[in-house]
Amino acid sequence: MKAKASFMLMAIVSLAVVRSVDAQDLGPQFQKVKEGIYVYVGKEFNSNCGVILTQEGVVLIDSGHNPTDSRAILNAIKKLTSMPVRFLIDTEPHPDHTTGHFVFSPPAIVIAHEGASESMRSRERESPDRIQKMMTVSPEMRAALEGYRFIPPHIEYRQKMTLNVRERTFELMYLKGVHSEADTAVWLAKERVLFSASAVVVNQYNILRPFVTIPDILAAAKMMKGLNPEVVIPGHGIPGTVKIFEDSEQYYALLLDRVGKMVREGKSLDQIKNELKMPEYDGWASKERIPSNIEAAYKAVKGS
Amino acid sequence: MKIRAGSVLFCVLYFLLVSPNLSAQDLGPLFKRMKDGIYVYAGKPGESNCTIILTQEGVVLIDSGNNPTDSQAVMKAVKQLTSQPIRFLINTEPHADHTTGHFVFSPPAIIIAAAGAGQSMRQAYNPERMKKMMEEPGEMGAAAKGYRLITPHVEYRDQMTLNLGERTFQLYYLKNVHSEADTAIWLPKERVLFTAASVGVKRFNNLRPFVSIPDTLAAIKMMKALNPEIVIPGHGDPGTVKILDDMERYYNSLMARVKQMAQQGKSLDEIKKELRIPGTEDWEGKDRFPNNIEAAYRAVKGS
Repeated sequence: MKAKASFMLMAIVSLAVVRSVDAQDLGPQFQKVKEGIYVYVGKEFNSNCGVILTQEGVVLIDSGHNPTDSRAILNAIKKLTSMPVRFLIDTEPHPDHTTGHFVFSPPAIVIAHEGASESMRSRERESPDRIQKMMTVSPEMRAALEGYRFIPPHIEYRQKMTLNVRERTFELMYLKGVHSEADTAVWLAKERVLFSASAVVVNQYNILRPFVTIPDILAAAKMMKGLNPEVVIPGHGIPGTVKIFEDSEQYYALLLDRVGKMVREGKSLDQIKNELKMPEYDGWASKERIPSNIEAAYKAVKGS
Repeated sequence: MKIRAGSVLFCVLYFLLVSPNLSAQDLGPLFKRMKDGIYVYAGKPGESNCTIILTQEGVVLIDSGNNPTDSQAVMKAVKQLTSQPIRFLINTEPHADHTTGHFVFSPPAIIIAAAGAGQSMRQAYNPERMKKMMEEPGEMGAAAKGYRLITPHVEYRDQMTLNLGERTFQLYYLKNVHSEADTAIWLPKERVLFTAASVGVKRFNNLRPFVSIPDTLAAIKMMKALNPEIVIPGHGDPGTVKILDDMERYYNSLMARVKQMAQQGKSLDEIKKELRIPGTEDWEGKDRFPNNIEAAYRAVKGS
């Protein structure tokens, strides 16, 4: 009798925890990548957000590109479960991944790599009117920003961290010099699902800031491929497989090769920027970032 | 006017919710107030300490008390101090005398420990011990009621920072000083340091085969360099940096004496029989002195 009662209780709990909702019911941006793992895929290369259900609540990977996205994600979570968002892991500290923290925290505990908090604070100092400006974008944005508060991470780990939330384990790995001041890959080993942060993007040139190095990106891609993931969810772009890494590896190898040849021919950085063509990648978006890619390749080739 | 009203409301709420005007004496004889909003439940002789730290966003605990009776006493004190929840519980080590009481606080508390703590706790978990504890008559049985093994949610490696409200907690992994996953916790603004069981107070530490005196001395040096005002060890009375100085002096004397005797050709057994360290005559835990000599001998011999 006791066993039967426990079974009933478990059944009720499962109903409360994971409702039977298809990704289609959540809205056009949502993809179900595994049982209990959904991705809100950002429109037109906007940032992605992962929604992961556990028996102890929800874990989010990033908080959506804009607060309007964050609100859509929160609405979807409410359809999926009655449990709270317990943790929010930042793959990077940039505003297009973190402005929506306030929608989820409290109660969510925000986790990021060391340096994320300082990065977020320095952006706030540089553009104190950022939120005011964002409010003027549209009435929807103004409404979504209602109750905005700046929420930096509660937890800042160094190098590696493990998060255990009941049946799921999240391995957090710092990716050095790949995109921002504090990039984190998130690996769900049992589910073989990898969130690769903005180390690599899909069908798009990445922005390579002065501190980003192509050798570090290639090392990160190699490490992440070594995990042998089944599903790869980049910071921006359509989720896929390890092909995402392979495509980036091929691109950077070709870029390094061509820049290397031109350097050996005695060409200056400016000449390379003017002359270098990558016709194989004509279909990629964000072509204005090609010069920063050439600069990074030039630094790698010159060893500076 | 609007700002003033807001400030008044904030102050009223803060004092009502966060910091009722309680002295440590009101909490019970084992509580000591170390700084504003920081209270240590100093365990009975030999037992572990547990600390309550209040913040504007909730409570952080350092360890969960030696036994569930201690955990319940700590929970009662937290309720007297604030109506806010316990948000985080940081383990200085995974051993049962610091972690059995997790179930009293979590949920809702998020448990944080160094990598390896979860595995250590699962390996050491003894359902029989807990069954017996729950069946004990009186206070212990009542306190252990509802026990569940709760392992850490967050396992960091090397270093981690926790930010909550106005406070910052720096977590440092201490390698080979006591358990499989020791954490020192440093509150830089408050200058309060939790040393974990890397050091004791007038007490020989239990130096297991993997514990190394050079690693312990390195940990002491690192912690002294933080320049703490208050030092709270895993076990024993809280104090000042003198706790670290005393242990550093003891381990240096021990190493020097063992080295000298080994150079004289004495065997480990002979050293164990003959060696005395002046100034430790009144220390507790004398049964651990032989394993202290073994650790010094390992270090001296480079093994």
